[in-house]
Amino acid sequence: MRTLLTVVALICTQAQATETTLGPVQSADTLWKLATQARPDDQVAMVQVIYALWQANPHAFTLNNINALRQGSQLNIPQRQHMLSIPVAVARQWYNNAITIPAGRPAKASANVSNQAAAEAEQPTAVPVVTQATEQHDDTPPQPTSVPAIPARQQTKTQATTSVSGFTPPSQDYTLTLQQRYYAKPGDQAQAKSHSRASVSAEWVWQSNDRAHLLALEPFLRWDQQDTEGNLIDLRQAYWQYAGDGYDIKTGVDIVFWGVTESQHLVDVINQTDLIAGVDGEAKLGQPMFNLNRYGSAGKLAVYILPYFRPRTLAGQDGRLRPPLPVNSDQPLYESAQAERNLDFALRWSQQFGALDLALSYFEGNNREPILLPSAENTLQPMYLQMQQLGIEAQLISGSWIWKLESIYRKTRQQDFSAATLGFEYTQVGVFETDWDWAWIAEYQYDSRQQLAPVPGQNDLFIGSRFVANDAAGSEMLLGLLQDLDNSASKSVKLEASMRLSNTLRLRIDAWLFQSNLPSDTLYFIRHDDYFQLSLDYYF
Amino acid sequence: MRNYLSTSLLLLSLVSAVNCATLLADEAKGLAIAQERKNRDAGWGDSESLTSMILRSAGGDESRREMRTAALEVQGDGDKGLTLFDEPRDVRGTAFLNHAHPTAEDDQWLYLPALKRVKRIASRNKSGPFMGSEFAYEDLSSFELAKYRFNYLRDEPCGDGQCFVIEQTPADEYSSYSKTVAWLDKTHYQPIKVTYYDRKNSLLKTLSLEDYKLYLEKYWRPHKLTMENHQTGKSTDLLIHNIRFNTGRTAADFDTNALQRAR
Repeated sequence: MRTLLTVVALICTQAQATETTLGPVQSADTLWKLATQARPDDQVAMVQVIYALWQANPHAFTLNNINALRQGSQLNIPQRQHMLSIPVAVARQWYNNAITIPAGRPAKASANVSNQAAAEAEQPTAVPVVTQATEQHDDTPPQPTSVPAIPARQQTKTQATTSVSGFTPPSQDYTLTLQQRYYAKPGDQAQAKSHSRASVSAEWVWQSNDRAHLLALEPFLRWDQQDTEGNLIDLRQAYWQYAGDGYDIKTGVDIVFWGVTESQHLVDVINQTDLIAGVDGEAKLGQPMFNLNRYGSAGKLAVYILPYFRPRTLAGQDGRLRPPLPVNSDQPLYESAQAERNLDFALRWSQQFGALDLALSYFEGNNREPILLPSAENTLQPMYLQMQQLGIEAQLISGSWIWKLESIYRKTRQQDFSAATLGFEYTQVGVFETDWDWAWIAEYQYDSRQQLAPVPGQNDLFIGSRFVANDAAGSEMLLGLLQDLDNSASKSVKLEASMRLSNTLRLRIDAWLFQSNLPSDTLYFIRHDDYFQLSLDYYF
Repeated sequence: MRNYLSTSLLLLSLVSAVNCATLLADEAKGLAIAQERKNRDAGWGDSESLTSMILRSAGGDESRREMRTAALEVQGDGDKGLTLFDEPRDVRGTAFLNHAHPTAEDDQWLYLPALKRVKRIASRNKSGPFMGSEFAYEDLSSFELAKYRFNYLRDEPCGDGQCFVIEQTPADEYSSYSKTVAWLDKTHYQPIKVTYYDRKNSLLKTLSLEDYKLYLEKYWRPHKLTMENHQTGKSTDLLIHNIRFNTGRTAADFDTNALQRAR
């Protein structure tokens, strides 16, 4: 047995040995070309291959310069692990410097001291002292021919576009949104029919040249003509993120989305909902967090530590789409003694298995959804209980069909319940001999609390249809109906349409209809709040 | 009479045998040329570029698209591509990730910055217009041998030189084309012109590829692509301003984690 193993080992070593050399270098060869042959797979960057080749074959380069490859030399191909041992960013910086050194000048062996290397590339040292460069090998021909690593034109281009370390100037984007909302009827509490709103956001993003560091800042301001609760100053993003090999970390404020379904987002729990912004609950408030993501062959594991809680935005006295009693959001109640400083925690594992995407999540901390308690002053006071939630997301792509499932189990002091959304999205392209895409969305919404659920979707069916015109204006439209299956009179209808007016202007139309005749139904209190809204987004 | 018939039959079978042989030879030659095209372009590794698109309506109205792209060559599978949209401004921040596969359906994801959502999208049908342009998704995907059946048609002068004219029949039943015909420059085996025929076999579009430049002493890349739709009168110019190779990108820059960070 032992002999057999030795023989196998010998054969393997032999086989490996025959594959670990390249050459002899021909006059038509370039280092780049040889590196493409030496590259084991696409997980290894070309610069890593080139760096490892250069490091392992000092005899093959005149004065250690990668632009002076010796004709006739044999190159040893280092192990894949060896290639991967030098970080891509470092290898890239080394390479960008190394290719600027003209053949005939010595190269610096250090790959780490980038600034120094860059300085040397610009002003070569007067005395070229490079230890390995003068080594003479008997097997190398006496008259080495210099072969440039890459063409001269390419060299200057690379040189021009790569500045050494640091950050590129920040990207700056500003958006101004003007919104006009018309309600079909005056409010049940005599609120106005016409509401104007304006918001402005700015986004600044700095990214380091090696793409490892990211700084993002996005303040958001909103003014509401009728409802003072709608006025908002928020930080949607204010974070630093570092991306390493197989992980990234983030500290600061950000928005995180979890989920796969379209009609509601059950699993999505990290950020608080900015409910005043829209009935669909898709607008979110920035959440302070520390986030670590680790990814590999076993999937992605995300850990979130959430040190500060943001209460939900809820319509005030003069706002629409609210319960009959006004909500006093100024002093929310908390179950946790730490109140908004309760340390919330979340975990999510996700993995792709071919056409199937799967994710499992866990959250514990302040419930993002308040319960509204009647108070002495004839108002409602939001209370945030502690909760634990388990979530699952699954998505299967099959041709033009995408099957989707989201389900949660949530436990609070008050109750525990489960809820689910299950459905599909089916897309046809080029319908009616046009360029249009036409998609159908059907999702069933379930909540184990039945009629007591404080949400509309407890045994409901959502049917939606989306048109995408694929025209120069990027026109699209979504029409959706949410029908209660227990009560045919309880339903809501939404329309979302938008088109581009110019490079910097987009027009959006949103409309909602609500219908209900049961006072116990969540839609009952907003049944007179049907509205039509025009929005204009200006980007500058 | 009998003799006459058998002679005709013999002649007929001879003619068809010759036809068959020519056809087989032309298919073999077509495949050989396509193989040479693929081989000559192998080993480029990874690249980045800045791209503008100018969309022109039949009436001559223009609108502009700006994007940045990164690409990674994958040995033994289709290439990976990342596209970041900069203009028009309402789509700024949107990113598109594509993992191409020669025979299976591509894997595709969109990053939607407003919701901070990575959304996986169905990719069976590649015939949809890219950003409202005259380019379909399938026109922009990487050239793979398994995607077509090839047939060499003829040699023909083109531009300043000579071209092979190759007919390419898509293998994918969801392709919007019955066939495409490519004019490949004999010096570098890259297309100078491609015509696209719709499912009813009528001429739909013509693509012209100009301003070829050589990179890394081996890889030819066009810098101006013009797609003209003969049925609608619309056209799109795709201008590539700056191509950089060896940008240090690895497969880790082309997964959904990187898509979320892409700026």
